[in-house]
Amino acid sequence: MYARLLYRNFHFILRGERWLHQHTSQTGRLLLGLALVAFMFGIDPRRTLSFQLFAVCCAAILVGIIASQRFRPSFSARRHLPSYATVGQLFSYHIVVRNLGDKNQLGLQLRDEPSVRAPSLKEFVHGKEPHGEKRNWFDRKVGYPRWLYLNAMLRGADTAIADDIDLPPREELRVTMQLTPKRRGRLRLATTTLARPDPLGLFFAECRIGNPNDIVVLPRRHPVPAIRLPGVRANRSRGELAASKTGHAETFVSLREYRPGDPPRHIHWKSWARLRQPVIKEFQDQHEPHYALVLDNFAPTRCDPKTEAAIEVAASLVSPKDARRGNIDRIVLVCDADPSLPRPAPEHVLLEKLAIVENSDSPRLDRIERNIVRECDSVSGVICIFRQVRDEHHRFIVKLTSIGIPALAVVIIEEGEPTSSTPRESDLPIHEIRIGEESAGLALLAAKLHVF
Amino acid sequence: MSSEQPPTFATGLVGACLAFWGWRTGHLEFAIPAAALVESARVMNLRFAFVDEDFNRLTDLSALLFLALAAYQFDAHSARGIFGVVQLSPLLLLILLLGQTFSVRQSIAYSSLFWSVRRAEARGMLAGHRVVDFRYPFIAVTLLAASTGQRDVGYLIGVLFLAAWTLFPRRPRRYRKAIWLLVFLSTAGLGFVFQNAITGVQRVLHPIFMELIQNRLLNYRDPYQNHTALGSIGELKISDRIVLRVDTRGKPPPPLLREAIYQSFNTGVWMARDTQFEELPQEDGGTSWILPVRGNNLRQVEISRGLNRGRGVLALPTGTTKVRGLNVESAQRNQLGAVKVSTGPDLITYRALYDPTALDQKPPSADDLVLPRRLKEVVVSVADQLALTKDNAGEAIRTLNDWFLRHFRYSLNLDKRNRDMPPVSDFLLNTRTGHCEYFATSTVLLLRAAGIPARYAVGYSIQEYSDLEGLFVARRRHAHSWASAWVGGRWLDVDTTPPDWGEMEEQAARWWWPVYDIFSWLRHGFLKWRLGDNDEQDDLWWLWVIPLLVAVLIWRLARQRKVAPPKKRPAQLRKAIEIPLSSFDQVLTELRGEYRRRRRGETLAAWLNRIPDSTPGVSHVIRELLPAYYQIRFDPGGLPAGQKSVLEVRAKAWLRRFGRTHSTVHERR
Repeated sequence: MYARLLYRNFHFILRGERWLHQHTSQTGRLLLGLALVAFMFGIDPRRTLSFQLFAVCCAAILVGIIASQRFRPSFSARRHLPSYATVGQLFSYHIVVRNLGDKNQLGLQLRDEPSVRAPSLKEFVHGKEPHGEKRNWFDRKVGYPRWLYLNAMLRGADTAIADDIDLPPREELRVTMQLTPKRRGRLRLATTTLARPDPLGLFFAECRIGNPNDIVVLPRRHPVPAIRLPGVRANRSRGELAASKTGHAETFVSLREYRPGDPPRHIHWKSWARLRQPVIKEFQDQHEPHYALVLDNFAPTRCDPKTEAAIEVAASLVSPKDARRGNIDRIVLVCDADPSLPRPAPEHVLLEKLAIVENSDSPRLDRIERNIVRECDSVSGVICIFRQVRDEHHRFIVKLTSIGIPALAVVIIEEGEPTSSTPRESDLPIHEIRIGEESAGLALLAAKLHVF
Repeated sequence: MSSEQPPTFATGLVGACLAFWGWRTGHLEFAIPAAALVESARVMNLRFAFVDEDFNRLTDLSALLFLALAAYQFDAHSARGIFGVVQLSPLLLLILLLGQTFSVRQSIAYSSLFWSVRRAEARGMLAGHRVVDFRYPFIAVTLLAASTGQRDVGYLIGVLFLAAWTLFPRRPRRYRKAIWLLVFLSTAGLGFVFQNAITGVQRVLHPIFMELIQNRLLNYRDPYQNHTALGSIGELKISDRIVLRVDTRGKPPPPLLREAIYQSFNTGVWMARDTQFEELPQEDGGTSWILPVRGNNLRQVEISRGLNRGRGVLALPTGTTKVRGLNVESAQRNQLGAVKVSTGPDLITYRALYDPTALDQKPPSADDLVLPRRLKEVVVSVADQLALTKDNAGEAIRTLNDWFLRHFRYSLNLDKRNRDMPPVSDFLLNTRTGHCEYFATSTVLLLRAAGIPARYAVGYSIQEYSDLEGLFVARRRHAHSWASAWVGGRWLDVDTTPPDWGEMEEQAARWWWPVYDIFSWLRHGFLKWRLGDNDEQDDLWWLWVIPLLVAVLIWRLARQRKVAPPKKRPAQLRKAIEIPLSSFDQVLTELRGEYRRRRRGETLAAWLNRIPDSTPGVSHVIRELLPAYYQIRFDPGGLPAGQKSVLEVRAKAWLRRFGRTHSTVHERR
C-alpha cells in the first residue's frame, strides 16, 4: 500500500517532468521555478510585492502556452545509426530531416527521443541502485533516488537535441545528433520531434513522428592489463613447454623490453646493442586456444548492479581495451534457456551477446557443466563470473579442474560486502572484484593469472 | 536533455538586477558598487582558477553570514525577521556570485551549494558532476529581495523592464522584433491585470482565511503570551463573528471583560513570565469557583461562550470574586488574574459575581516597571514631555487619556510606517495612528516610564446590544486591549483607545452579517439545548441522526442496485440472431455428444480448437462453417441475402459426411 502510493506519486512526478521537458525551454523552466518561489514568498500581498512578480510570470506562462498551440509541419526523418554504441560513451549519428511542406521553417528544435517505459511496481520495490546501501534512511525507505536510477536505466539515454534548425521548403537537412547511452542492451530511438518555440522562447509547440530504430549498446569495459589466461603458453616458442592439447605455433611477433624472468636465450642481442637495454623476442601464443566464459546472469530484477558489474567485467575480459589478445571466444549464460556450449564466435558477436543478456532466475549450472565436460577437448580453460560462490558453484569449478580444464572464478561483491563472504578452499582459484573497483580488481586478476 | 544549448545570457542583467534591488530597498550604497564589481568582469581579464573546495568555502562563509543575519533579525523582529533576511540576501550571496564571475569555470558545482550533495559526492554516490550557473538563482533572489522594499508601482515596472532585458536577447529567430514586442506588451498588460486580480482575490480571501484560522486555531487565548499586530501594514480585517453573549438582566454591562493579562513586552509580543496556574477552590457541588478577590457590592453577569476542544480562557469583569454554573472539570488562575478552564463542553454559560471596586490581585512587582531597551529612550522622553509622575497617578492617567484623544487617531488601515524604528516609537512620534494594541502598549509603557506599575490586558469590549437575542454580544472585532495600572492600592483598567473605535469597526462590518447572526443565534440555541441540564438528553441527542442515515443508506443501495432497463437491440442485429441455424446447431450437437462439452464462457472457436484435429470433420467446421456462422451471429450486417443459406447447405453437407444422425435431421426438416 505504502509502496504503491509512492509508486503512483513518482509516476505522476515523472509524467509531469516529461511534459515539462518536452514543452518548455530552459528559460521556460526557469520562469516556472521563479513563479513558484514568487508565489510562496508572496502569498500574503500585504507583506511583499512578489505577488506582482508571480503575476508577470503567470502572464508570460499563459501567453507562452497559448502561442505554442498549433504547429503542424509536414516533414520526414531518416536516422543513420552506427552498428554499436558503448555505455557511458558519447556517440554521434545523423538524422536527415526533410521539409515536405511549402513553408520555410526557421529556428526549430529537433529532438530524438528514446522509447519511454517507467519501472513497474515490482521493479521499483525490488530494484536496486548502485550505492543504495549508502543512502540515508529516508532515501532508502522512500526510494526516490532508486526510482530515478531505474527510470534512467529503462530509458537508456537522454533525449538528443539539436537547436536552431532551419528547414527551407522541400529541402532536407542532415543534422548530427549526439547521445550518451546509460545502459547496455538494445536502445530504441522511438520518435523524432520538431519543436517550434513561442515568441518569448518559453514553450514549444511540437510535432512528432514515429521513427523507431534500434542500436545495440555494448557494456562498459574497464582497462585490463595483458592477461595470461589459464592454460595459455604465452609468448613462448615451441619446444620449451610441454605439449598442449590444442597445438603450438612458433611465429615471431615482435620485440619488447626485458622483464624479469624472461629466458636469456630470447634476448635479441642486436637490438640490445642498438638500444643499450635488453630486448626480448616475443613469439605468438599457442595456436587457437579456446576459452569459455561462464556468466552468472541470475538476478531477481532488471538493472541489478551486481549483474551489471559482472557483465562489464565479462566484456572487459572478452574484449580487453589495452591488451592484444582476447582469447575468450564463447560465452555461456548460467540462466540461459539453452545451456549448450556455443560455437566459437568473434569478439563483436560476444560483446553483442553480453549487451543483450537478460537477467533470469533459473540457473542451470549442472547442465553447463555436463556440456563443457562433453566438449572438453575444444576448451582450453574456463573463466566463470559469479555473483556469489555457493556449493554448486564450488562443485562446478572443482569438477572442471578435476578433468583438466583450468577454471577460474571471478566473484562480484558489493561495496559493503566482506571479502571473505564466499566459501572457498585455499587451492580454489577464486578472485573477488568489488563493485566500483572493477579496474583495480581486473589488474589484480591479471597479476594473479601470471602466477596461475 | 543533455544536449540542449544553454540560453544566451543578457549582457549587464546581473548588474541591472542589483541596481533594481538597491533602488527598491534603499540600499543603493551597496547595490551600485556591487553591480559595478560584477559587471567589471566583462572588461577585466582577472580570473582565478577556483576549484570546488574554494567554492565550498565561499558557500560555507555565505551560510554562516546567513545564520548570523537570521539570528539578528529574528531577535529584533521575531518571525517578521524573515523579510529582513530576504531583503539582505543578495549581499550575502554576492560572495558566491563574484567567485563564479571571476573564476575561469564560470559555474559552480551543485556539491558546493548543497551540503547533502557534497557529502554524497565525497562518498562516491554521484555518477556525474553537475554544475549550475549561479547567476540565475542570484537574479531570482534579487527580485524577491526587491519585493520587500517600497510598495509602489515601481516594482512591477522594474520587473517588466528586467523581463524584457532577459527575454529579448534569447528571442527565437523565426519571429520579427515587432512580433516579439507585441507579444511582450501583451504579456505586460496581462501581468498588470493579473496582479490587480491577485490583490482583489486577496481582499476577499484574506478575511475568510483569517476567520478560519481564528476560529479553528486561535480560538484559545494563550494566557502566557500575546502576539500583537504591531508593525503590520495594510488593513487589519477582523471577523464579525459573535464570540460572547452577555446577559445582564437589564442592567448595564461591565464595559470590559478581561481574558488575560501580561507583564513583559519584547518585539511585538506581550508575555506573562514566571506565572503559574493554580486550581481554584470549588463550592456548590463543583459548579461554583471561588477567586481570591475580596468584594462587597456584588453584581452578576451571565456570560456564554464556546470552548475549543473543551478548553479556554474565561472572559471576566474586573473584580470577579466568584464564578457560578461553570460546568468544567478544572478551573485554574494565575498570579496575574487570568482564569483558564479545561475539560468542558463545547459551550459554557457561567455567572460572574463581581465588584468593580474590589481589591484585586496581588500588588505589583518590579517587572511591572520594566521598559524594553529599544523603546526606553522614546517612551521616557514622551513621558517627560507629558510631565507624567507617579505621585499623582490619577492625574497621569487623565493626562494620557486626554493626550491620546486629542492627538491620535484610531485606524485598522496602516500603510505608512517607518521601517527603521520600532512600531511603538513610530506610533508615538510619527504616525499617531493605530489600533488598540498601539494605544494599550503605549499607555502601559508611558505609565511605567512615569513610575506607575502597569500591565497589558486583553479581552472584549461590551458595547453591542442584540435585539434579536435580547442580550449583549461581543464579536471578534470587539476584541480589545487596554492597560491595567496600579492606582490607589488596586489594579485599575485604563483604556486610552479613542472611544469611536467601536463605531469605526461597526461601519466596516459586512452587510450579510445580520443573516449570519440569525444562524449563530440558532446554533447557540441548539447547543444550549443540547448541553442542557438533562444528562440523558445530552448523551442521546445524536440518536435522531440514525433514522436519517438509515434512510440515506437505503436510498443509495436502492440506486446502486437498480437494474437498467434492457436496451432495444438494433433491428438488423435482432434479425441476424433470429436466423434459423438448425443444421449448424446439429453439427455442434454431434461434436458435443461425442466429445467434451463447452466450458462456461468458452468461445465456440476456442472449444473447437480444443477438440483434437484427428476428430473427423473438426477442421472442416473450423475452416468452412465457423467464419460464416460468426458473420451471421455477430456482424450487424450479416451475410448477403444470397449467401445466407450457404451455412445451412454446408452444415447439411457436413452432417451427411460426418454425422451419424443426419437422416434424422432430414426427416425433421
